[in-house]
Amino acid sequence: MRVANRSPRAVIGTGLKYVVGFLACVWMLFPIYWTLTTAFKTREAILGSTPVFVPTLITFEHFRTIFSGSVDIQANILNSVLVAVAAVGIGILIGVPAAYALSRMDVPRKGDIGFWILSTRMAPPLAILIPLVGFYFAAGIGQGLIGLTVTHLLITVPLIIWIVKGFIDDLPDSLEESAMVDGCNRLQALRTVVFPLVAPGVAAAAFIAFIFSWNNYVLALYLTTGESATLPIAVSNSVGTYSIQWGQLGAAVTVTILPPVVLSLLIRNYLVAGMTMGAVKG
Amino acid sequence: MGAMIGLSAITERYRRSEQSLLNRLEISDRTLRWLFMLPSIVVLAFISIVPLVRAVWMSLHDWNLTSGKGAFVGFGNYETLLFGNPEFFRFEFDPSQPFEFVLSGSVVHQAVYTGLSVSIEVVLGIALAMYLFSLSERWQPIVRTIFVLPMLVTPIATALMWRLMIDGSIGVINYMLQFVGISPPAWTSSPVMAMLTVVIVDVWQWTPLVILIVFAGLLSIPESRYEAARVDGAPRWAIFRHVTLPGIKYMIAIALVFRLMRSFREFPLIEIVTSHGPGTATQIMNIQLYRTVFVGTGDAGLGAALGIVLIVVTVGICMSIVRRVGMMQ
Amino acid sequence: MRDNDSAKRTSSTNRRRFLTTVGASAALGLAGCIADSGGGGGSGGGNGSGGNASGLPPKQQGVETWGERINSYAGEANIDWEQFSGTSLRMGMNSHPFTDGTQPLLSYFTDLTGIEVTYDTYAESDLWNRLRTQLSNEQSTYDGFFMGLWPSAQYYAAGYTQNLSAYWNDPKITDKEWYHLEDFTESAIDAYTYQDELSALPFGVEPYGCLAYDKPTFEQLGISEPTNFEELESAAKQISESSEVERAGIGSRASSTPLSTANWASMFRSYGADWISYTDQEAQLSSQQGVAALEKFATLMGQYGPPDVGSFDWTRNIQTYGQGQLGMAYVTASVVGSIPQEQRSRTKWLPPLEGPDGDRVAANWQWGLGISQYSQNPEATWLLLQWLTCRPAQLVTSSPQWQDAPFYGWARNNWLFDRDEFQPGELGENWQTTFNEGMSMVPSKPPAVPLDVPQNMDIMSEAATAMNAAVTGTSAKQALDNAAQSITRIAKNIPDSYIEPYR
Repeated sequence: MRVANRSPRAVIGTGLKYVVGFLACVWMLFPIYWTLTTAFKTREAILGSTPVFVPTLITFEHFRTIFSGSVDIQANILNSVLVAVAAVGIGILIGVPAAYALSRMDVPRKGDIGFWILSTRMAPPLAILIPLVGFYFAAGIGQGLIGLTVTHLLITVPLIIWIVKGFIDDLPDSLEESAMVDGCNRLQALRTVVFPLVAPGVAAAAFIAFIFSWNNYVLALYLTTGESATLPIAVSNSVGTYSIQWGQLGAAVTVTILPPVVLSLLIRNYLVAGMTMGAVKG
Repeated sequence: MGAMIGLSAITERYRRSEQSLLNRLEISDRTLRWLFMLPSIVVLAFISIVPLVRAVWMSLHDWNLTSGKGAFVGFGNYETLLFGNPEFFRFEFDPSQPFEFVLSGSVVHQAVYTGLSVSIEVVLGIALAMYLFSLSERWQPIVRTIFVLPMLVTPIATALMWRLMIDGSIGVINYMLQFVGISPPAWTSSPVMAMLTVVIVDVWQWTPLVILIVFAGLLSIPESRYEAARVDGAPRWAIFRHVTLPGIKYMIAIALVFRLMRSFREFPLIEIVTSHGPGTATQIMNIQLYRTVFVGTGDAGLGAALGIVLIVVTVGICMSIVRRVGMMQ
Repeated sequence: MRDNDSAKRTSSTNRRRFLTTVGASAALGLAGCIADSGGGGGSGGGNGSGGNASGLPPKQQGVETWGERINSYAGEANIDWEQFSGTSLRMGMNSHPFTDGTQPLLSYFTDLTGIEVTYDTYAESDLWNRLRTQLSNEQSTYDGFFMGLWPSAQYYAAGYTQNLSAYWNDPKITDKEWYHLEDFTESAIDAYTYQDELSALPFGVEPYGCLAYDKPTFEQLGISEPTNFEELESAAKQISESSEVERAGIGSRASSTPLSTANWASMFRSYGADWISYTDQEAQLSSQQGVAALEKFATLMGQYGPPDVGSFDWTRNIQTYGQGQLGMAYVTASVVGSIPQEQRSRTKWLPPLEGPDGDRVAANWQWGLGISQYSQNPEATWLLLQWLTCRPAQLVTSSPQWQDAPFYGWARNNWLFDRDEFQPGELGENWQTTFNEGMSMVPSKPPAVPLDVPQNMDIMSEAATAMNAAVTGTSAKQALDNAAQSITRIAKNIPDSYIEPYR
């Protein structure tokens, strides 16, 4: 009935909207769908000249390969979790206070320091890797999770500082001031007033930092060894010298993207809230 | 006001609490600001400055990874790179034949790749973010979740996925194109198409980041501003131009900076999809750096110089954007 | 101490995992993973690996048999295998059939020697990049690693690897008679020898410039076997233009990475062209013969190849052939394990074709194992290298000895093909002859590509760019002229000691 009240133009408009949305979703989803289904296809189906859009013959062969065959993906998962969680955790611990100081306190040359922090992320890793690897070997953290985690702080800390800083910028000064008038010192005001309010922003920042740490391949390649390798290395290892094992690749990718996807669903509301408030002023 | 009262109640409770350790810590703001800043500064300096200084030092030496450290050469590597390296920049122009010129090199490829992919991502990202914003509450969360997904895929997987899909013999995209009667393009074997291919892959992977950031910006524009504009009877494009755009200006700048930073050091998306070819048609600066240092005898001095140039370019461009929109204040 | 423990753990986990996997089900798809990662991969129809039909034992049984067999053979050597007992070694390995095929056998090496071995496996370029960052910092996590032939002179020049000749001449750890160096083609050992120092032991060799063609296509169109490149072109043209056959004429590796030049390099040298003049340290590739060779190659690929031939690397080339989309593949005979059974049985192999003056040259690639300069246990590593490349081990890696085992290698090609145990199954008509003839055409001085100088990869990288540009539309002359400028610059950096033998 409501449709009847609309002008034909509006109906076309609505139709168009669905079409655009549908196409955009297909564009975003199809490559992922294709990879996920590849993980369950037989080799014949993957390499056949007629693509199989909906696999009817499902195989778990490729998952068996990566979980109990020649690949040790359990260790990769564990390493990835350890590194990303530690890098994000430490990132929050040191990044949030820094963001607060940059936003609220009288730090000399604030702008320059802020930009320098952002710019640490601009160096192409390949340019600094050879010196970095030498440096880490000299420091005795050559090829282990500690070295990798420390390096991942380069990914997480600037991101967290920038997103959380923008978020704190957005809070009215009066909140802390009134808390301080009430007799809190600054630390207390932070704990009781500022932190609870920035929590969604921190969650959003942590999530984005997590994704970038989780997905990092270049650093892991040079800074880990067999036992300390992370998931993107497992993905890369499906490229054999003579053939790419597409099924194994699909399975490894499935395992790799599952945690970020689940996490994004879990914190989806925080994410939007955090992004909304956090990034307004950068 | 209500929030304020609630707040006083909380602080009151804390003030009275004898347990509160924080209460007894009397640290001046002067000390506190450094307590807050120093850990981050120390950590970032530790990881970024030490190798960077070393890289600068390397760039000033004739240093081959295979034959070892050589002499101090000052800016010799930079000179070679900027003026004597056709892979970096090549321009041949004969005024008598103004339409037959050669313009190539990794700087040019970089400009094309970054320029094209980042502008498409920003335009498409804004459009899709606005689309998302216009959806009903029922659809918005679902579509939003879908729109974020490509960003979650690890880039090396993205590259391999696309390689599978555009594969000439088993690729599904060629199959679909042929199905609708289009003959598939030479995805990675013609210079122009190869560049478009890597741009397409980049757009797929990173438009979601722009959508996410811009969408957050759209949410933060107060409804009242739109209403005011509508009351004035402003047409749609005018609302976009005078209300929406100013409202998301900062967000666009952030998205732009994030994307540029990333685009300048892109590696797997290109090296896996096209192996920087055909020829060197998709070799951007970071990949030239990679090939200089890691393939062949390894001219670490030249590679380091290229790395420093790349850093300077990235920082310069990003800084100008940051300054322009006043993100620093 | 900690290293030791972790190596032990990894090794025993591998064994346990392997046992449970096999125990779980015979059809478990180990088939899939191993064969796929190995030579038998890329199956389009039918089973991927070679000898499945011939009643090979299941993996567990095969590993047991061959592990014991290698050890009993090792017992014949006049070497005290247990002299380094308690050591643990870490090897940097490629994701490669050799790695997959030997990993399950490692526990037998431990039984024999008391030496624990861990494989760290990476994709090819990943491993190279890792080695480069570590070794250039004078560090290494590895005692030994995969050495590809073309970059190995630069490893030698940089002092990344140890001089194996010293170990070869040490009777305490080497029994020369037992090792049978004569099993290898001489040029294969020469290729790894720089200034009289051996830097790697080969386990796999690849003669390039061979031709695999689809017999039914040739029969259907009445094409006769090409013997030179003119005939090759007309065959490619016929297939490509025929409406009866839905195959492109010919394919080859033609992408812009250095290793993709190997097929064209065979053709280039058969045309009588040279990459560089060693004595003048100057590029020579844009000579008349060089341009002619590249023009021919560009015509073959650009006009009669598949549309995306410009992006063909090893995988794409052989996958396309394996799918039945190419009439001919210009390849190395060693590619055979990557061709699915169905296409393999339709294939006939031809050794490198004649150039305009009747020259026939094969470019070569090899995989071998070297010892890191920074290894703490080089002698124990040397024992492992010998064990992994000894006669029965070559039988395991070059011919499937259990169901769906990967296979690749044939480095001991003077000995291997006459063994009863060498039963690779259907490799296609004329394969062994093609392989042996191809190997016999591998030149040593100068080699087919300048792999005896540290700058080889730089030179071939430029050559690859030129080749790829020509295949995708640039004129051959212009592409080679461009490359020549850079190559001359590179050639000037070749140290004198590498030029000396040519003076």
